[in-house]
Amino acid sequence: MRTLPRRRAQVQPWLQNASNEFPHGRPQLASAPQSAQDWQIYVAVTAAMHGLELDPARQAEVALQLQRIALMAQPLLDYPLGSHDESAPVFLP
Amino acid sequence: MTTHPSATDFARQVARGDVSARELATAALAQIERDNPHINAYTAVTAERALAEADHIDALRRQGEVLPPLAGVPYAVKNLFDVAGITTLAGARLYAANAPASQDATLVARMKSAGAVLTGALNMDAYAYGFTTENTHYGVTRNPLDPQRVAGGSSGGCGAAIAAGMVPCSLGSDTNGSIRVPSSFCGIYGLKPSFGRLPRSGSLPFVPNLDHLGPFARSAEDVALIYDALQGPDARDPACAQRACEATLPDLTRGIEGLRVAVLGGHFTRWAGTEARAAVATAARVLEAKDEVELVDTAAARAAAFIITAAEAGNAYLPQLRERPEDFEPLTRERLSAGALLPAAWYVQAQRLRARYRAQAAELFRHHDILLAAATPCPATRIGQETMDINGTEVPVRPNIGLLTQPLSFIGLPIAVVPLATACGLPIGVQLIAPAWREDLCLRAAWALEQGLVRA
Repeated sequence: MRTLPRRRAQVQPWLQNASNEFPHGRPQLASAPQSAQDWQIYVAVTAAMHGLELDPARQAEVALQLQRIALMAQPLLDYPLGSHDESAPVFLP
Repeated sequence: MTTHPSATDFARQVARGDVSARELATAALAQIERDNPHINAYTAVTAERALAEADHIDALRRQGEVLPPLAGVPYAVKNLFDVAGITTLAGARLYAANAPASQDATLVARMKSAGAVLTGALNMDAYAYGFTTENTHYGVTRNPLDPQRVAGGSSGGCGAAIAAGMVPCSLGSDTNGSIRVPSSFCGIYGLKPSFGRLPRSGSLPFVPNLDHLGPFARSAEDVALIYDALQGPDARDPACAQRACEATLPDLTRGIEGLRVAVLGGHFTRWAGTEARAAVATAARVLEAKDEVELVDTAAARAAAFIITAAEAGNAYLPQLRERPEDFEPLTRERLSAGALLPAAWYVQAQRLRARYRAQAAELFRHHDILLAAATPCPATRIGQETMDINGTEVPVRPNIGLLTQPLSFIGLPIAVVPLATACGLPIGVQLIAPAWREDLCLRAAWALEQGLVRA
């Protein structure tokens, strides 16, 4: 099994006081738009968790892509799904 | 839109003995050799195989055998289909050093059984993640109708090879619009069947929850002929619905007899530019569409398709993103990386919306049999173009060419595309959208529209 790189960013921002790490408050990943800075922190954390090494330029570009995807995703994330709205799986045993 | 012979024409000529399959194959190969350097539709030409398959058809005819439906018809496939003896690229340098495929993809094998003659593999956006076939490693595929413009994507080579007259038909894939966009930009016909209709075994997955395969051709009749030859179950594709062939060709000429046709408004009108709206208006007139209806929540559906695409593709390529980032298409690499990092909650939300949006579409089909919408917001964009204006809103080209296709493939509806001429001189496609599993209806409507346009 691949070992995840040991980096401070791997877990710290999520476990420490969020207000120190997120200037605009803790992100609500299911709905609220994020700032560019929030996404840069998010990428630093999750890339490390996924074993994806990114230099600063790539990290900035991935953050920009995520910011764009988040903007595009907003109508979906705002959509009021009910507790009976199940996904439509195709898996057949 | 083109004056080149159709697949049906070629098959009839071979069956009558007016021309041999070898003569057709030789002519196609000569044209590919002459024109491909300018258009860049092909990434591999299978000349030896084409001649062998053609000779087999000619031998059958000499022996007095009944010829299969596509006997001697030259074609080509997007380079994500396995073709025995050549490496499956999926537009990506990542795969260039892989061993050649040991056997044909299911649909390539079915084309062979139907008598078609494979001329090669076609260029595409890397990984099928794009709408323009501007491929950094394998070059841009140019639109034969205007070489300064893109052929569309991600099946750009499929559209360009037909529009250039190299072959009368091809096979491609459509995850978010990749059959419908090149059809629109190159002025040809295409069919994205219902999700799960045609088996994808032996093709490289991009987004398994959204990937469809289907044919491109020069007429509605050709599309029906090829589609019928491709149908049938295959247990090797877990998403294949395993349905028996439901032939569409016999009823094609019933046209719109008894069909209730309506225009899709809302999102589909808001994001259709001037030429796109005019094309839909023409199609509505020919097909006697009286109503305009709205598929609500389309913006959310489009967003959901975007999220599923980003998450599944990002996850699929995560190992290579870790190990070989330098081999990725630079236009796509960080989009894939971002997709690999998306929150799981977003992906689940997208999958849950899918069932709800499908139910909304089913409700519309209680009152209508065919829905009309433009296939692209505008005709073919220029190579390298970064933004486009849609009704006064400036948007980036690459993620938005699929604005009108993406919400519909999200719920797997069968859709035929018919190309119409526009005032600017370039074609644009109209989507004819049918209820799930009713490819017969959208092909009948496509045939009726084609006939109506010929008469007009």
